[in-house]
Amino acid sequence: MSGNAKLSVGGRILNRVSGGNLLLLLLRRWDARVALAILTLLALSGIAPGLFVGPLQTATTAEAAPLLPPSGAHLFGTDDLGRDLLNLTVHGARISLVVGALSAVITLLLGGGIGMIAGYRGGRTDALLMRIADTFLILPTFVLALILAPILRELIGDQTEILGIRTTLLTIVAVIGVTSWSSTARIVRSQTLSLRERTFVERARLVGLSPMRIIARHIFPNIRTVLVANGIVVIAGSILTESTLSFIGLGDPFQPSWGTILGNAQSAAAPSLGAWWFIMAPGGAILFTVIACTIVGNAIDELLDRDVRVRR
Amino acid sequence: MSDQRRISAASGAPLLRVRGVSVTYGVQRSIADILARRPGGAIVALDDVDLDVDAGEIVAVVGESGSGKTTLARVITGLIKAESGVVEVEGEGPNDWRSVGMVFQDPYETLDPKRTLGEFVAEGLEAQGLPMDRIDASLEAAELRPASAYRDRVPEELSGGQRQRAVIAGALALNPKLVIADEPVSMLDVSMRAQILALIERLRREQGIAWLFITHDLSLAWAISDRVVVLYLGAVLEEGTAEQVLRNPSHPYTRALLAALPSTDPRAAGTHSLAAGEIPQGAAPSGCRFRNRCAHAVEACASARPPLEAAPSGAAGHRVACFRAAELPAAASVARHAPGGATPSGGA
Ligand SMILES: Nc1ncnc2c1ncn2[C@@H]1O[C@H](COP(=O)(O)OP(=O)(O)OP(=O)(O)O)[C@@H](O)[C@H]1O
Ligand code: SF4
Ligand SMILES: [Mg+2]
Repeated sequence: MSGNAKLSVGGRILNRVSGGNLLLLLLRRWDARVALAILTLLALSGIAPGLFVGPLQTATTAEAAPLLPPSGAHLFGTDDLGRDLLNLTVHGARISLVVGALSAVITLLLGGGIGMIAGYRGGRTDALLMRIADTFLILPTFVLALILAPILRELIGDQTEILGIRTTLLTIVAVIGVTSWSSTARIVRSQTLSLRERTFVERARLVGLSPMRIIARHIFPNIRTVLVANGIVVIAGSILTESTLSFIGLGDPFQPSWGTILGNAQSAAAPSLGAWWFIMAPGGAILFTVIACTIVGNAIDELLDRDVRVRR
Repeated sequence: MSDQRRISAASGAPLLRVRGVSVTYGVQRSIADILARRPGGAIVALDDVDLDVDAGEIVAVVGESGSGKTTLARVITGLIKAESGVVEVEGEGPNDWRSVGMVFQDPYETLDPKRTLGEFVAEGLEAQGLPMDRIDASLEAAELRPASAYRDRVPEELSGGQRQRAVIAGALALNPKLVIADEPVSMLDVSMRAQILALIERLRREQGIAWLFITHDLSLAWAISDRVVVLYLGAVLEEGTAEQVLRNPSHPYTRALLAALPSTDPRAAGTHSLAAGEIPQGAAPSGCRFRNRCAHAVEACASARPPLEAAPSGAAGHRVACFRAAELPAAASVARHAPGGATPSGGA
């Protein structure tokens, strides 16, 4: 291939998929626009629920009749204790946000770091790290969380807070982080392996740049978008895991979570009472969030794919 | 073009001294290879290569694809280790990065798409602990003027020629005495080629930088170099001044290469040809490496490797590895081929 082919029209834009660039490209797709809007709404609910509803106390105290269907006063209806479901769902976003964000950070730090080191160093370091990654890859997240959550809760106690986050949540985050870093590490490693052979890395080695600097300057910037795409997928997965754990009663009892609300609906026999709104509010929130994450993650992947194709 | 152009160190060791360098690549076999019982083993990319480059000299290494040119560049710059042999720059091992620069074939690949030219040039300075104020001077020395107009640009905003200048600037920043250029103009269009060649020539003239100019294009070698080394299947078959090797070639291979050029000189056209066109894959033949393609091959050629010895021309420094060099008829003079009509060294 001649060098000029790399300057084809598509390549001009896509050669530098990164940062703000990436956001602009995403906004050109209608599905990504909708998904990003949903995620923005989620983020706002998590950070500033006051924008939409009252403070947390108003959500957890009953003030209406139980099991009211959606109406002007209660847009999402009320639960079996007469609490406003919209209020609960908005406040529930915070847990999803915290769990999703923290899990993604842990996963990306562990998986990204280990993947880059394994890919760049190669040889025995690579073999060893990938063996460890494979071991973690087969750990079932949910089962592990199921076992660890009650144990840690017993050991540390419900009320203990670390940096303002209750330990139950931290358990969930830790379990998700520990079980999902390995697939990230694999993806990052294979990207690093091919980057390592690129001439600009070879030339950096030639002028004497240290491996750590090469990783920071050349490897990391070139896989940043891959990490973003991967992180979003991790967020979706961890929100699901948290919801499931809360649903079966292993979540944080002091902060409403979508999974907890769903669990309440289940124990209040909402399905058999025909109180569909009781399930719809938290269920819809989970569904839309996970779908939105998946759409954005896939869209980034597709953009990257084209990016890689153009560059080759 | 003659020996006068050679500004060699009057005495003492050459700037670059390569002796007996061999490189073998291990080849990994895929499952398909194993099932098909294809041998794994090794590719000998360089076999006992000797090479000198004097200070301020431009030496062209010419050879077909797969002859080991890039491997030679990688050994000299220390990117890979030779299995045997020595590589010395100013009498020292290949750890003295500052004195050897490298210009790669593909300027689109040598610059990280995510980083500016200034950051690219700064990289070597930082690694070597040199002051950053050399960035602008280096860019301007590579004719990217004014430096302020290029420093903050990313590769995608530049033409191939500008990129290759930036790569050269990155090498210049470290004050090299020798720059290895691996097919530096093969991906550029013709007008750019002449400019980059002129730049190389100027840097040699003004800064005394020696160049090892790797190319598969004999006309480029003719246009730029003082001396030419012909590489075939990892070994040197002929070497000498550009005049000696390209106008009075001794080795049947060199002659065949020259004859294969689209020639403007009717005397040179079609007088020699490569007997069997393909460069052998895998191991070189026993005896003379070139014998399976050589029109003059005789039985004796299979018995041993012909050593690199003084050419029948008797000219100093002209050496050839062929048993029959002395018996072969003198070669017809070969026409000058200058790339794009431009001969940067034309005035010399
Ligand atoms: N990393 C490698 N692993 C295995 N074999 C290699 C490797 N690099 C080069 N080779 C082989 O070594 C031989 C010499 O390759 P090299 O790249 O040095 O040739 P070249 O003269 O630069 O060719 P070209 O003009 O195609 O760039 C070839 O047979 C090639 O297939
Ligand atoms: S040694 Fe024999 S085979 Fe080799 S180049 Fe000379 S004549 Fe040809
Ligand atoms: Mg090459």
